[in-house]
Amino acid sequence: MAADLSVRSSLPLQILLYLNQWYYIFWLIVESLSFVFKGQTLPFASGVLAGEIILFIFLFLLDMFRIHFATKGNLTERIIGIIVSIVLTLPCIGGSLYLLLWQHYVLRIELIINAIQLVFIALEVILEIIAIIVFARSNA
Amino acid sequence: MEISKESFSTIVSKATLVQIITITLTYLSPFLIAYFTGGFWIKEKTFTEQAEVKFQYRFIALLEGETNTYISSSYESINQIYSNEYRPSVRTITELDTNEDGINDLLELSIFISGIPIDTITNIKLILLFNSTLSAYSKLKLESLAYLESYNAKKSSELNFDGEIQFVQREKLREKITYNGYSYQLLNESNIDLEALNLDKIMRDYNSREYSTRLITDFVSWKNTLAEGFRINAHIRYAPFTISYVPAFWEQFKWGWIQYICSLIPFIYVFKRIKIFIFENQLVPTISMNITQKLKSS
Amino acid sequence: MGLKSVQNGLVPTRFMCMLAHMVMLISLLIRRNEYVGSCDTVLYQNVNLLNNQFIIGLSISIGILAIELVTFITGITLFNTFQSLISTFLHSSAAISLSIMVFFKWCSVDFWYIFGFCSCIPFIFEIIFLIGIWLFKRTIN
Repeated sequence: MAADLSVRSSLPLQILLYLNQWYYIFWLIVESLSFVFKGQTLPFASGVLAGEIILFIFLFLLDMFRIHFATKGNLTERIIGIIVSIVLTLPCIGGSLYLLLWQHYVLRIELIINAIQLVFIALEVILEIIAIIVFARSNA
Repeated sequence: MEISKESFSTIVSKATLVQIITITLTYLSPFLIAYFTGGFWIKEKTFTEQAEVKFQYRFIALLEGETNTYISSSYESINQIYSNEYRPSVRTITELDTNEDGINDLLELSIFISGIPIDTITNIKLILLFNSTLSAYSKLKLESLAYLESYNAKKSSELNFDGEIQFVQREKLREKITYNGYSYQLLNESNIDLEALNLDKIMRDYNSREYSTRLITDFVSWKNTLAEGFRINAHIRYAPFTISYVPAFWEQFKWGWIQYICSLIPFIYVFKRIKIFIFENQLVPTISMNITQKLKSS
Repeated sequence: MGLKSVQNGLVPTRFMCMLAHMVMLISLLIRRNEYVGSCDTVLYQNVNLLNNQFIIGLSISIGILAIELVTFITGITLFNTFQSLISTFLHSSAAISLSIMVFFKWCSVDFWYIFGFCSCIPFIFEIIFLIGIWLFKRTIN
């Protein structure tokens, strides 16, 4: 069994994950500022704003975990990290869609930011599936 | 031992371009910020001053009833011209300083005009003349006028009113002028001709002045006294004047300088960090050397 | 060689600036009417023409920026420090100018200045580097 020295980690996926991490910081700042703006100027029923802010914080943490697992899985060329990451992608898509469509008040900037986020997630999912296929084939 | 790094390059190079751009942005951006947030220069400021107002002991009172008109004034010539309608008057005048700051701020005036039948007056026009002096910012001496017109449908014989003298400014004060232009007498005491006695013309000329005063009446009431003659009781307060002026050059410059420096400091810091990043990571090609400086004490 | 700058965070900076520019352009595209409407009606009679010009300008900007993002992500100009410097500076100044345009409701004709400086110049340099890499096999750092 000769050692296999070729690198099978997906470079485009890694670049996308790295940029997505930086994009999340930008997303965090913009969303916090828009929540502050909405809290100050728009009328909310009691408890609604708090619920949305909690959802936003959970979404951020979940996304950070998702990127972390995907990075680890990609760099160690193991399937398990990427599978966990794909499993975590589903609530992340749900959260982004909520912030995009079903929020109580959706600002124009939030629309754009979450749409770009969904584009990132979509590209990453495609590349992750390709990476799973590549890793599974080489491990088998 | 201090170690610092210096970067060299030729005069025409990307490094000088970077340097020029950062210096321009550093020193230009505070101007841009000031331009977008309302400008540097403060064009108008206000302050309040208790002016010295003195009653000149001159007045003109025009009383009108249903069919007759009476006039009483402190100008001998007016009284002589209108000798038919003239009725003599007795005045009691007190000027008080209620808040003890050395400047009078209350005038208690009582005018009793005799020779008027009981309960005939329905309309009164009263002109009181004062001298005001402003001295805190510029020196202005004004002759100021308080004009009251009051009408009552019921015929009465006493008028009480409560008022305040207010400063009317149609033009902003400029710095440190001494302006006595309106200190002339509106009606010359000794020599009055009939043309100058047009009330409309007097009031119009007075109201076209740039600096004048106005009487604001808070409370006017008419009474019947069942006695002959007409009495006027007045409480007039001298309120502090609110004066707006254009600041002088050094005052504007002081505030503009503060704004510029406060906007400049963050920009200097930020662009210094950016320049260190650019030159240390060789984003533009330069030759850099480490320079070691020994401390002087060795 | 300039890779030290990449280690110190030049690549994310450039990405964020391009992204900020893109976000501002898209948000302007969504609500154009205020900017076309705040133009001087005496100078610019034809509002429809202005509207069309604004849409075309914004779309071209977004297209150019998308091309630049693609060449950035796929790595062609990822490590090119000169292009990074120009790109960072010009895209960040475009983002700032566009947000000033939103705040102070500038006329849409002023957008063309921003377009000229901040969208065209990085694109031109990008094309020069692309041609250099493909045709002449040379990379400039």
